[in-house]
Amino acid sequence: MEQEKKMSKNIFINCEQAGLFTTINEIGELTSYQKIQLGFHNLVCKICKLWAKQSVQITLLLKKAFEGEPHKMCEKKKAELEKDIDQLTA
Amino acid sequence: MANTLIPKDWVKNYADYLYNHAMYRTRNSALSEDLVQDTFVSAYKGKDNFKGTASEKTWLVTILKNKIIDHYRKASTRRQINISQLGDAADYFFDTATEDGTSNHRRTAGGAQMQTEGLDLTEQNELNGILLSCFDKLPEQWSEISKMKLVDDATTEEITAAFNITKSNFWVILHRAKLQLRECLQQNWVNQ
Repeated sequence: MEQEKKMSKNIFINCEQAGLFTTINEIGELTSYQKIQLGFHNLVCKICKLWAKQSVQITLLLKKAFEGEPHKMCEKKKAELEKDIDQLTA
Repeated sequence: MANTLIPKDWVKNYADYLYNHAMYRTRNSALSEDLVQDTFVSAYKGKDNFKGTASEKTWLVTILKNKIIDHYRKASTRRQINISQLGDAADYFFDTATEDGTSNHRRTAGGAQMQTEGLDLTEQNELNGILLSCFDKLPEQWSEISKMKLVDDATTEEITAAFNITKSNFWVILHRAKLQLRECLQQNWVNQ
């Protein structure tokens, strides 16, 4: 909370704050004033603007990477593995 | 009581679970089968190292994770770039002037790009695998929190209650996890 109050004093925020604000903005929890602060900062900062894009990219990539139904190994391969283990344990 | 290994039951009990785990990370059926096979062989050969403190399943998953990391480490060497060319990820958030007077922001702007669009299926699968390997490297709490929020769409209130953390802490953890993921991707993924 103290950190939030401190960050909210000035309309001009630094890149560290802007990065954090971008992450918070993406999950829809930035206040209106913080949105203005972030907007001002991103007008002049290419990298923080890039981070806004990358942050969304990372989220989309994560969703894609985790999506899908559980995969099952084919029975033929399982039988092969059973054989391999039998040979190892024999 | 210490856990014991029962190799003859591994395929029946864990083949699907390990295969699924590998598939989520590699998106490649043949590779996943090979990785599971390698896991069982390595586990059997290293069975004397099993202390019984973890469960058989946990032990096998750990071996599989190492196999996957090894696979991507080998695959990524051809596209690995020197991290010094990108600068320290933390530096992106501080407008530190360099010797030639330019800021890190301007200096690293091009290198910081992540090319993740327009990939073919193989590249996309490989990127997914690298991303999930990067995800596995996050501190456990960070990865759980990030997955709950970004993948499972849990509410912030649910997460802060589950982990007994403040909203501010949650924001910072989520932000740091994403920064670490970006840094890991930049080290291991450069679209050619």
